[in-house]
Amino acid sequence: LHTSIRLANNAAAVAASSSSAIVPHALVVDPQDPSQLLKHLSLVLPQYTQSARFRLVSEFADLFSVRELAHLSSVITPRLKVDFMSALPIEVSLNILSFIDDPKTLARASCVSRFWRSLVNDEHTWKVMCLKHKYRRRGSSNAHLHSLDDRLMRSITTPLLASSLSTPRITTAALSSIAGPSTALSASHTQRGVASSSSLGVPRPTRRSSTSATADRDDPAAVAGLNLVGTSSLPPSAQHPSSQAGPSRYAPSSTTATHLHRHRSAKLPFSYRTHFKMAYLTESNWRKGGRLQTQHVSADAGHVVTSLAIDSEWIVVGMANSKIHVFSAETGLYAHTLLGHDVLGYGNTDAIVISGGCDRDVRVWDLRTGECKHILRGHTSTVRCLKVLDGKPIAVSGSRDSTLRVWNVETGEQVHLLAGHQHSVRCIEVAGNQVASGSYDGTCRIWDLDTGRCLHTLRGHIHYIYAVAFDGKRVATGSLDSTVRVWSAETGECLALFQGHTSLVGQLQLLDNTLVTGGSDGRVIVFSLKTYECLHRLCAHDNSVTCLQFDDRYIITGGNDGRVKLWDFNTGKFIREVCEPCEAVWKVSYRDDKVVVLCKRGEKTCMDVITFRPAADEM
Amino acid sequence: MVSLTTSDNEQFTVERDVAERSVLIKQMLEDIGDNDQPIPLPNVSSNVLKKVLEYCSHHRSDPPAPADDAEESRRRTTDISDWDAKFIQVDQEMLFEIILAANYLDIKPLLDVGCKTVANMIKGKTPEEIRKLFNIQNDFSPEEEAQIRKENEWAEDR
Repeated sequence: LHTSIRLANNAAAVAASSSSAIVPHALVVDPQDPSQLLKHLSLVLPQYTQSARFRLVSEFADLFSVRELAHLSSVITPRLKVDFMSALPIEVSLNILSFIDDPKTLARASCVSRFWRSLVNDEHTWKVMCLKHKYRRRGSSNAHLHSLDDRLMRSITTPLLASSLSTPRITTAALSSIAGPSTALSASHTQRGVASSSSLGVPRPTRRSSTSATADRDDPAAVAGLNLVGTSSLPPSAQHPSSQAGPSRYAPSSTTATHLHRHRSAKLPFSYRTHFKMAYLTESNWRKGGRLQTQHVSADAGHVVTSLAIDSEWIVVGMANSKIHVFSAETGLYAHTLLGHDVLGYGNTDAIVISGGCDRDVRVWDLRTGECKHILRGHTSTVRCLKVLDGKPIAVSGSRDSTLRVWNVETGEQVHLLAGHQHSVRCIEVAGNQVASGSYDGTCRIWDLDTGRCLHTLRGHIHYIYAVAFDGKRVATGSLDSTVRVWSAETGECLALFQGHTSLVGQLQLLDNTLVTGGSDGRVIVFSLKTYECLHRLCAHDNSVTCLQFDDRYIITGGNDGRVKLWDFNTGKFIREVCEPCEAVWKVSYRDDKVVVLCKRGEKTCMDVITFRPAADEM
Repeated sequence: MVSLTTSDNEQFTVERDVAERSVLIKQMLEDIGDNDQPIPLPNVSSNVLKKVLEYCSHHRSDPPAPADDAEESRRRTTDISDWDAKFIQVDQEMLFEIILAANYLDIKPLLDVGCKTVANMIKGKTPEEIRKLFNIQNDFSPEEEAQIRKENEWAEDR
């Protein structure tokens, strides 16, 4: 007899004899077919107690060979598995999903089965994901991020003076996307587009030629910009969605698609999953994607860009030819030109920009209309730096006349004259009710804006101060003596001296406990203000670092070598170049999903607006 | 001391602070007042309750669970303590039973340990691996599956 049958037979006999309630059947052993035995077992088993059944199973195992047990194991194993997601109460299953923080796992989980899919697509799961990844719902306020933005807003730098005029032009790709629902709207945009492109040279071949027919009208572009003030009173939200096509990949159908998509998504209820996907793709595009949203190229030889400010509504560009160009941040489209100055001060309140330049005036502009609201007179030499306070109608200007002046931009009055520096005021930074000023006299001063008193004079640098950063508690200064100093704003004492650079330190940003500096030696250095240690030393550029900006994820640097580089803030590792190389990068600024680069390319002034927001066909 | 009776009629006697790790038992004790009657737990079998009480007695002196504002920090999969990780190394059926019991008895930290463990099992696995791990039938048609894969492609490469 076959071993197993024999043993099974014994087992059945054991089982049968252990219960007096059962009359043993005579079992016919068929060596080919155990079904009789199985039938018998299934009949008698329910009559045994729980503990007897456990014992039966234990002893059963002794009856089989190892190979048979291995087979048994493969039969049993799947049965011992539990589909937790469908077997547990829904709220517990959702709790399990809430511990998953990578979208890849969630995406894969939704491919497992219909039930898993319905569970993963639950809004709760994606809401938790949004929270974990700190993807805010659009429009929701967040005090920390706002203050961060405000700080970025103020990273506006100082002028280089030159003359003559250049005009940005608008990609026709952007223009074409507005042909659509509102004739009046598209007409006004077309008109504006025509005006701004009127001094263009030859349009780029990749762009649509519809504007070129009228582009030979020879109004001076800047004046045309001002003439169009009336049409620019449209709120940005009423303007068309941004074109998704850069010059190289422009296709009319794709802009239509964008338009339809936006239209549709505006009506759909908010979905955390879509929101997460959008934010996630935007974030991964930072590292390896992105597309050119708009590009403006000057008609003539181009000028140095001295200031750049962006916020959610506007991109404001100050040029060395004493013109300030204003663009919509949402669309990248040209709005208007503010004449006469190149230095900017930008407040986050009420779309106000203030400007200064070599005519010694400070002007207050309304960005929505392009109207000059006040001309503030007092400085006796070139205005070199400007700042606007958060949430207060107070602006501060620093001048080559060695003074600072504090202005009320609502009334147009001078509030204080801050005198004390012995030489040009090169850079200022405001925080709370104080301003820190860096001067060519080698000192930095901290002033009380309410009283106009000088609180501290920070002495230590042995050459011009070119850059200052100030967070209310600490002041950082960068100097031509190639050092960086950190000072206590409270006591005025020098807390640290950093000597990592080998020439002028002209770029500084201070955020939380980190100071990032950029020098003419092409280096970018990340310092901890907790430990006063150098965290990262980046060999960033082959030539001067002209601009830098960072947050808790990235550092972006621009250099005179024509490169814009993206770095990982935490590791200090180079990630990639953000745009095509050019001759020189003047200003770079980023916000949310957008990087604005002002540079010299093909001997022209060029503004690239790069967006990391996924295109419609990616969503 | 508190007496607990399981679904299979076994009786456990434990110290009150151990039993009160369960919010359900704590509330029952408050409701019935000073009474030596055993508390019936008809949804928990003895082998599971034994495990659960092992957890409760190890964690008997833990500080009370943080309020909801600490929700964020709780939401990390990796932070299972060494003891908990070892405790929860059980077969799937037992894990399932422990999660059910923790949910029923309202022992939030234990529930989370169980849920984190399942989340960790899922992490990094392909759909096919997940099906195999939990013995799940793929009930999508090939067309649906292709469609769903496409829908989820965005999360794949980063």
